[in-house]
Amino acid sequence: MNPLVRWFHRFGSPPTFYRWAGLAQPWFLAGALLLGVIALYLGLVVAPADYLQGESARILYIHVPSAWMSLFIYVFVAANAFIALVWRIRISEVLSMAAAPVGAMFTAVTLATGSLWGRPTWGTYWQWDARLTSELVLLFLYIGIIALFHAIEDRRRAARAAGLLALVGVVNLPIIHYSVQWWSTLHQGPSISLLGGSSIHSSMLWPLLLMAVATKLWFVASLARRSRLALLEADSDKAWVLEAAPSLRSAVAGA
Amino acid sequence: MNPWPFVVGAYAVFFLGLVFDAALPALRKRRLLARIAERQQREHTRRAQQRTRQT
Repeated sequence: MNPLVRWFHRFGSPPTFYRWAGLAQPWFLAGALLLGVIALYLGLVVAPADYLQGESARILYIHVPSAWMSLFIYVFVAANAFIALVWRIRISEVLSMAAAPVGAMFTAVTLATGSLWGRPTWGTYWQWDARLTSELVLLFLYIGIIALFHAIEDRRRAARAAGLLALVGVVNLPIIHYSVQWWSTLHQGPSISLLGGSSIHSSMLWPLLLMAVATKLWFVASLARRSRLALLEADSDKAWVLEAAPSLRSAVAGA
Repeated sequence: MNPWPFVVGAYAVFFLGLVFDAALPALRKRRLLARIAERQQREHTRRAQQRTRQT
């Protein structure tokens, strides 16, 4: 067996994953809260108002990181769905389905905060332009994945069916990313590029980047919490659950 | 147009999203614990009745 797949199987065994995720989760959550507070202070107090957009530009310190997360999490969901479909690794199914609600939350936040930014800046809450519409399609994809997962009783079959839908939906990601370049949209083009640098002043760039890291850490913490719960639900009648989860031991002892 | 209500609204939406994201799994965990405890209680009662019948 491929060493990477072997490592994945070993780390992905429910008791091992449950233990490691439990240890890591509070640290990621603490990091997310700490960086989030610093980013909020920089974004709301230190950073100046934008010369064109005024104070409403402060919405972008949460809107842009949320939008990045909506795409990043979808890639994560699809990648794990692919691994689960090809190599039948159960923990990938669990991770994929546990990440989808977090992605849906960030997509909904992106659409809502973008709408609240659009009203004072564009004069409208909503416009059917390519970027906004493709982001809305992403939200529907997330909702479809979650709904399909909960519609099938057999958890593993449900995860595979929903994973397949996630893989089909990958086609929407380049559309979202390049929509502002392919079509003439009301939505502005990218101000930050991984390769081409940034056109934003550092006083505005730092709160944005710190919030982006904070949302990533939040996602890992949330994913750890949700995937541990999914494992408990799926394996609640197995011996390792009672050994691994003290809260379950006390619940059983109290019964 | 005063932008501050929009800024406050956007930040409120953001924090509400995070609160929901944290709260929903916690509620699910409570329900799961209750379900497991109930199942154990049923199992306990069934075994006790079985022992009574045998004696």
